[in-house]
Amino acid sequence: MELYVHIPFCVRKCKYCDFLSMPSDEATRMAYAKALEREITIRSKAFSDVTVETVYFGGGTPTVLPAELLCKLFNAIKTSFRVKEGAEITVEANPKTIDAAGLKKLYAGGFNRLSLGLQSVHDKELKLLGRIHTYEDFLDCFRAARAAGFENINVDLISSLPGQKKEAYEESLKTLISLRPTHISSYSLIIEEGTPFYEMYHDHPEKLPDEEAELAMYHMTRDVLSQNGYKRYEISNYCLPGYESRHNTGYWRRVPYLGLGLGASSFTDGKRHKNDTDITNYIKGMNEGDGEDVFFKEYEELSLKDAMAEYLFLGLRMTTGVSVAEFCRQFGKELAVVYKTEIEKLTCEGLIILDNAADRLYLTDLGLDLANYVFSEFL
Amino acid sequence: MEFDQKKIRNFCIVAHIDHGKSTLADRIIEKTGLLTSREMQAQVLDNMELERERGITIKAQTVRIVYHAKDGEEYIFNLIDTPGHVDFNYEVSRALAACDGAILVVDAAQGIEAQTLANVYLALDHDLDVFPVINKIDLPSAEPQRVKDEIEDVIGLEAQDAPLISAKNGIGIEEVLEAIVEKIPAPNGDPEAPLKALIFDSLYDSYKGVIVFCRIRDGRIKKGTRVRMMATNATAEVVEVGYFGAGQFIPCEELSAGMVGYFTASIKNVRDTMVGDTVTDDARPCAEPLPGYKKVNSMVYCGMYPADGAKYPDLRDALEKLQLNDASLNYEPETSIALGFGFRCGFLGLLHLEIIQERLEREYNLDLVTTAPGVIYKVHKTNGDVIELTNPSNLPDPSEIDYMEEPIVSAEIMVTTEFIGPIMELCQERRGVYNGMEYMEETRALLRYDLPLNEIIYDFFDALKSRSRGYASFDYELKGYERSELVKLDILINREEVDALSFIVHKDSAYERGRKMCEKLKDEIPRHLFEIPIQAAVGGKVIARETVKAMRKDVLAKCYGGDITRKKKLLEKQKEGKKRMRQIGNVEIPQAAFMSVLKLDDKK
Repeated sequence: MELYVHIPFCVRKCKYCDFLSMPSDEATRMAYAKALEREITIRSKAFSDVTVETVYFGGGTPTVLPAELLCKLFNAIKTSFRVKEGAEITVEANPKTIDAAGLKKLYAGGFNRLSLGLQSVHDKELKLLGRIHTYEDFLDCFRAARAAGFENINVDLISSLPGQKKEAYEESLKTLISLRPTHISSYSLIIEEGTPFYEMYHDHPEKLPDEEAELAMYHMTRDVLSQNGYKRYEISNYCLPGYESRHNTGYWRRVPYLGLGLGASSFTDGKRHKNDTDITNYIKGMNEGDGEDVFFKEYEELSLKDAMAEYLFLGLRMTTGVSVAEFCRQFGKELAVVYKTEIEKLTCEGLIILDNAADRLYLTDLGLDLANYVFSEFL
Repeated sequence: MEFDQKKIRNFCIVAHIDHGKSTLADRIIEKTGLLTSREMQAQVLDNMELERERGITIKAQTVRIVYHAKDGEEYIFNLIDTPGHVDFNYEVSRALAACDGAILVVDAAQGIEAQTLANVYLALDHDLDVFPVINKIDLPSAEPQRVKDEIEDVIGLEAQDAPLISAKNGIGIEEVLEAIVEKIPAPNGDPEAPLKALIFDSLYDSYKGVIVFCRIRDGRIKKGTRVRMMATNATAEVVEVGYFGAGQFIPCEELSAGMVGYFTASIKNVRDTMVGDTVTDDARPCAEPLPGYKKVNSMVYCGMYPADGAKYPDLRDALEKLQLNDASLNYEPETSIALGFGFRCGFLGLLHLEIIQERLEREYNLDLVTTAPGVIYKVHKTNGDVIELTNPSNLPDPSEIDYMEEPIVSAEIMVTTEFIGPIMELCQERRGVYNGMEYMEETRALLRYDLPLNEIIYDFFDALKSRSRGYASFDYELKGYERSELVKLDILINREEVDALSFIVHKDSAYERGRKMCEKLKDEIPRHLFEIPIQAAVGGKVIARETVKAMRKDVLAKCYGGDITRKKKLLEKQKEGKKRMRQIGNVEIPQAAFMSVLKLDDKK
């Protein structure tokens, strides 16, 4: 099993971000940490004999909480759950919210993977995105992280920013590569409803790179990273050999996970569910009850059809695709029979390859450009 | 109960749309005391949901009320409501024929409009005594004296003592009621003569069968009378007779000469009781039917298809039910390569079409795809045959066609002088033939044009409104057929002809229409993995083209943490979009694309 811990706080919300996060005061942060600790205790009871393979502190910005507090929360997890020796323990951080001392504390506290949000090496672009740090801040943080002992570091980039030229993105990509992080995630910007960017750009697509430019940057990510020794193992994720994110890979392989904290999603016993997203309710619910008012706010029992579709639209995100035999083992049906029409159509369109000898079904390069189109066929 | 004919007043209210006809009817009903204010719905007579929303009367409603006049006598008023749209002109004429007089309502601010004239002339044609009422006198822009003068000048009706009222605020209603008693003549039929009654409307009830609305000219009708409908020759035995309460049927012993009421006779089909037909006593028939009956023909045709092919039987059942109540709705099954099984439906006009479409969607929960409406063309073949063409796909090969004819209407457009230019320009664009202009007063004119019907069924009314800032009003009637240079415009999507998008157009408009269609379709058809050419062609020759570019990138890059449900919802939305598409060759065309070509915007 995997554990996800959500820290829904940020110094300031970025203009493109629609994740569950908010600014906070000291008192709220402390109350939240206390509630989270309580959730850890309560929820662990049902999983006392399950081994935890990965833990991921995400947000928001987990490092808005002091390093000591994050360590304390991880300790609580270790006490309550059976965390495997050598498990992958990731924490996300914003370069401006943690210093060398903090990074040392995190590393000493058991965190062994760091995920840094950089997004761009150009300060002008960072400002446009509403980031609170400069490239210099990131560089300091990255070096301090290495010095603190973090070997496995992911850095996030975003392409197709408003007004962005291909060359500017190429510079971000190459500058980042020169630092040799073990892992790079690069996403194309999505204009999400409810964000300031939505207000600014939804009705003005002409201010964003057009599809050709977006596609060029998407391809550049793949080409430049592979030329530099980074393996693409998922649509937006690249790593040096052996440094795949074990935690995220679990999502795509439908490994069960438990989400702790505000609005965290879980996948346990073949069911998908979610915690309350209202922070007042969350804190109150955890302090005054046993979580009954917090857990299972959204609850979805998956039918066989749902589960099979998930297996494909999650698994096909990975460049190695899915195992045909594993599908049969999990669902008792032949993949090639259940999705006969879809597989024929998509193969014909040059989007997927079914290699029975290798026991794989995977997306072609064209399929990776049109993944949503492929996935929606399997629903 | 025999009621003295002298105490009966059968009348209707005629007006231009929005001049306050229904509101005045409500006030009359209210003041006569049959209903309390609380019982009144916003507008008592317009009882169909759709009518209330659109503010127009579709189906004529009739009510019998009792008025205690100032002379101390009790009068029976039969207020016969008339539909308010040109599509229903024939129904209007039959409703008028059931009356002895009419109240003309004119808006104190707007004065006479095209429909005012059309309706008042129609009333005068039926020898009705018409008296005017000036409504909306409470408006700041009201000019009652100007409007009175206009009524006298333009229509020639005495208007100086016309009641000045505000139906909305209940001002002057008493005066109207007294005027009804004084100015509208009492009926004068012979109760002892053979039965002669005019059908002016009917309604299908699932328990009683057809409820026939009629005006008794002569004789009497009661339970047990064996009646004959003189035009359709259908006979039936009367089960019930009665009159119209407000919103309900009130049975009575008999209806006699001069009265307005209804009868039921377990009649299963409204087609047996056509509006305008004469009802007589089968045992003692009258010598001649009442004049004016004609069979109403559909003027506008379109294909209607269920969005979900499996709903075809539901659509058939729904049309069947609607037809029970609407003798002017025609339909017959047809098949389209693009849209599957559906029906070719005939309507009185575009409004009638829209109303039926909305009712099918709302009352019967059907999701419909409608093809571009067209008119009936007469195709004269070289072998001498004449085809009445309602579906463009059935047009014979050009080599077999000698020539074609299209229906022409005579139109009257009332417009303020400043907009004469733009309206004349519009009529020219629509191939109109100018027939003259009359000044109603200094600032307003009545334009007369002959226009091809197929040029006005799409968006003529919208264009008229937008080019006159809403000031133009419009009325028309079918004039006849004229020879015309018509061609069939085909649309090819990815080089395949889409039958449901073909239509007939004048050859001079073909290029413009084709270009607009292609542009519109380009916006409606989603991108595919390959490039899709959209072409408009006449006789195999491409005259316009657009291209839907191929889809290059469609990736949800972001992870959304472990929120798989959210990701799935996004994919489902994409999938859902695909479901509502029609497959033509290897191109998926959204249902909306078929509808979007119905409204090809003109210059605004």
